[in-house]
Amino acid sequence: METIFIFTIIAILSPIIGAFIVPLLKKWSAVRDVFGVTTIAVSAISAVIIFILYGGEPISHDFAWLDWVGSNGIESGFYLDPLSVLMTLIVSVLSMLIAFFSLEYMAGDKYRTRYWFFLQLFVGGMLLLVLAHDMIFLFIGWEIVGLCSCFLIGHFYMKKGEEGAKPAKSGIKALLMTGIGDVGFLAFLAFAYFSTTPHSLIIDPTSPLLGGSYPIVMSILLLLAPVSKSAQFPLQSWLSSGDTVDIDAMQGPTTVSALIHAATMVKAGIYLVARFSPIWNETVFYVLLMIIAGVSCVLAAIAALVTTDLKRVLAYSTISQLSYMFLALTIRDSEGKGLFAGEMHLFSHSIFKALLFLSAGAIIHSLANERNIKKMGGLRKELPWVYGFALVGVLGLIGIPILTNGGYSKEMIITVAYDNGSWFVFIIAILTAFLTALYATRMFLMIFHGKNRGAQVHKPKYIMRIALGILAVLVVATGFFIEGPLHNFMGEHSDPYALIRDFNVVPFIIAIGALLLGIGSAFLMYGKGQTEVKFIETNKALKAVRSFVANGYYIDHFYDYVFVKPTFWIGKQFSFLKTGKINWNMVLGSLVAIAAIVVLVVIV
Amino acid sequence: MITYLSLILIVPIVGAVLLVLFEQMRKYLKKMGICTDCLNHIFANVVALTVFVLAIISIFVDNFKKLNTTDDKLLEFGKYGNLEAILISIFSFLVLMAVLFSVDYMKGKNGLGYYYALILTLLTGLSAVVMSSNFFTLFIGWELFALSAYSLVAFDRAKRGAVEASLKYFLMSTVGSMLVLLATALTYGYYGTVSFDALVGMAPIGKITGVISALYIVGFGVTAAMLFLNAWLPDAHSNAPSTISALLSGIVVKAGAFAIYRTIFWGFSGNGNFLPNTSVFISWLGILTMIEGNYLVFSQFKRKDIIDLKRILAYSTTVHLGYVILGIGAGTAIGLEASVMHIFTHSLGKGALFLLSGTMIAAVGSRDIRNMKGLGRRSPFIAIVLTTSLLSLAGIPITGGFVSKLLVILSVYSGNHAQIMNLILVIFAVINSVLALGGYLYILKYIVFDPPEAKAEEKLKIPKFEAIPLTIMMVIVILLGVWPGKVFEYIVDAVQGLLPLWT
Repeated sequence: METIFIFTIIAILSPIIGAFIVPLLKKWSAVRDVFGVTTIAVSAISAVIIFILYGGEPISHDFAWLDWVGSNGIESGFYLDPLSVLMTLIVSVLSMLIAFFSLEYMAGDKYRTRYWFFLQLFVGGMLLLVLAHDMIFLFIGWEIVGLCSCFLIGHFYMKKGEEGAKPAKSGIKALLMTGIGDVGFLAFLAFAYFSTTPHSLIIDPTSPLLGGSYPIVMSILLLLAPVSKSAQFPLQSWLSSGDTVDIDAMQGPTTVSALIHAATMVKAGIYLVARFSPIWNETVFYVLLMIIAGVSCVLAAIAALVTTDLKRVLAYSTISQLSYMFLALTIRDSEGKGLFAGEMHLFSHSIFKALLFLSAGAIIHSLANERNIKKMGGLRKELPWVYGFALVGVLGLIGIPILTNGGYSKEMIITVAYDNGSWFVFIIAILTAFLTALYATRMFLMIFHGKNRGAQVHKPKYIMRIALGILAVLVVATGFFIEGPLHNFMGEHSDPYALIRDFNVVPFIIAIGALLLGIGSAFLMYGKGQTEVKFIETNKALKAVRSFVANGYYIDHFYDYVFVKPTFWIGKQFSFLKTGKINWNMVLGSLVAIAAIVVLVVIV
Repeated sequence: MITYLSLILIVPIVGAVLLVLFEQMRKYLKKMGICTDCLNHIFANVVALTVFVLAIISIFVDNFKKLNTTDDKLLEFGKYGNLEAILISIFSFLVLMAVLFSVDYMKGKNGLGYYYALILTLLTGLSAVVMSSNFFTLFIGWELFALSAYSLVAFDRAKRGAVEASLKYFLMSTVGSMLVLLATALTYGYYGTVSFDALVGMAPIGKITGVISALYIVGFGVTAAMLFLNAWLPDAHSNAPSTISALLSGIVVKAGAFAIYRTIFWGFSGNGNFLPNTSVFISWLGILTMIEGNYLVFSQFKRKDIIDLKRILAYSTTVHLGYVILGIGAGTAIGLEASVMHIFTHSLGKGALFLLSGTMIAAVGSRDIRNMKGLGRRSPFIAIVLTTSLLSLAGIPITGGFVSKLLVILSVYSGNHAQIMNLILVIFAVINSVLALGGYLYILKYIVFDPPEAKAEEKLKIPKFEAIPLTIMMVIVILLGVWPGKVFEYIVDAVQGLLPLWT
């Protein structure tokens, strides 16, 4: 085994083993909290060492984890290529920063043991997911992060009354809805295993294309996984539901939202598609993904314009940006530029969305758990630090070119779409860029500008500021990395600064125009501290649309009527067969017996 | 080696006799200053442990396995290979856990000696079913464990529900047994033998083979809780003492599945298309059972009178029997591996849940899940065990249930059927697994997430002998999830040895 894999194993196991040690440290709460951060920091340090040691060539280390053919034929293992090394670095460093942040943020919580247990387990699971060489380890990581997400969303279930009931329901909803994708992936995994010769579950760009007899069914099964985990259109409501429903992942602590539901876990879907990209080439998969991503991109951006919950704006924005990455991944050009652009947007989005969520956390913490942006306003005087950091984050989200990392990656996607003539992607991208600028500016203005509309402020301490500061620096600094070093590191193109060489002025101008238009109209509408827009207030049709959007497009109601209630209804009908009367049961049993005899006699 | 293997049957049956003797001599023992209950507890545990150790040793020591030696007298009665050794180890392990749990759970109940004696005869019967080499000895073992199970269900004979459930179980299961007996008679009449080794190569004799195997499948299917044949199951599970529910769900119904395996692979595998066709039939039976079980779980949650936790778990057992049958129905080596693994993980997970339900019912004094709200807050131990075992049943990684679910799905996809049939079966199986997850999360919500009733806020204390077996089982569930390789090696070995018989 090469040295680099020792660090890989340390990075994965340190938080997982730490998670099982944390409950033993229950009595010494300070030690426990520091221990929680330390194990994640060990992962982060290992990730940095991996990054330094990594030579540029894909390498793997395989071993038999579960051997069901009795001949050592099946192997699981770890795989290092530029994408997984980069993902490891993002995941572990962001996790460390956010764990550090939660030292202060969660300080008043009574059940921190549970919090640390699942947070550490999450980091381990996520690292396993990104470092897996085969589908089994990937799937295990996939399920572990889903599980931790469920319990971390439900972290506040011990609160009294409604405040406790909502997180519990939200956690269960998240596990159940992502469970749909999990089983889709499980079924796909069986297919993938038996369609390769010799049977194998290794995901490797060099391995031959997967393909089989039922490409459409398999594409749909595989599609379920990224769509549910990355919260795309029909399954998005576990991450962010309507204001009136209010049962979604945002019920968890803000640190959790930042880590799991913005920076890392929801990226698993993108990572999966990127991983499968070289070996899965069914057109139907990418077309379906493009349509789903396009729809959810716009819908989520519009929803972000309407909602009044600070965290939900960010959650909708996350969905929208994830769709952006999916759109980039569906551009399948020969040089892999679409893939690269999507991965880069993943990278920059992780950082600026973590910054935005943590800023939101700092704001919510300072305002005693007030999340309604209509009640904020004028906070730039009370929270000047957060104001500055959030500004950097918002600029990253909008995608200001040159200055922020979001700018580079977003430009890249738009340029690639334009160059490849993917008009659907290009139009959606420009439209979303406009909408993003609009809602991001709206949120920012409503929080920090105008007058304070009655929120009580107490200022955060240093730990929060340090974490925020590091992230803000990263947002600005990594922009240049995307252009130069990272580009080389990913090795997608032979020459550095290919972006500048490929620079195309038309999409750039259009994108800048969309951004400026978005920012400008937001200033017009909300610049003076308004909370409502006049022309929507006066127009009945627009008001109806707004309430439709604020109800989360009625998607939860739809599921309730189409899936939940019928399940119970069918169950009730079934229970008529189970009266408990022995005669009746004997009759049914005889029916089965007769059926069995008839069937088996026929097939002999 | 006959002596050694017969110990597996002789030790529990002799233990049972002695336990009954102790119970009868209660007065004399009291005069001698010996506490009969303590004696019963200790002796039953020792016997269960002995059987477990015997079975485990026979897995590791090749000399104890007699599969293909013809001159061994044991072969007339039974066969003993790796597969049998593994199954008996699983069975005796769960019995050991249940007996250990009983030390606190059954404390102070009347007739402890009889209770333990019946559990041990149950184990003897199950071992005999697994070890038998022909349909007739299988039937004898079958009746032995079935009779013990009827009496154990009615152990709280003062409860009307328990007696009713026991009677219902008795009636339905007896009909099943009679079908099995009829089928055995027909087999002997038409084939001239009932031994598996003789039957395994024979070609089907016209339509009568279909009738015989259908009779076997239906007869065994009553115990294996197949579609609509499982009416006895929820009543029996919910009214029996919780340890007995754990045994019923963990091992007794699995014996039915094992007998179905014997029927279709050893009894009437034949040549030509018969085996693939019966396995398709079995697979669909499994799928329909899963659907029935899942919807019945949901129907329980909306009941007005009582939302019985044990009844929900019982229906969930039928879902998992569906998985086991699916694995068997795949008709391949990996399918059998998956079934054995699923028998193991399910008996751990469901066994732990039923045992835990005993603790919880004792704490709140009712089987209604609405009264158990927030029990997880009153005792973190309950919360952890409940969550782990529910997740294991739902097949979420780092629990053993994931490994077996993965294998079941893999085996169904690679089944011995047409490709499109495999695909449809897989899709039904995964849809059912989402439905099952929904049911488990509902339980989780009630017991862990929901706030407890206002008056019941104080902490719960779990008795020591109830905590120990649950802890052991949870540790094994987690270990199986993290590092299944070692255990799985033996299962693969066991199944690979059988391969030439039915390919």
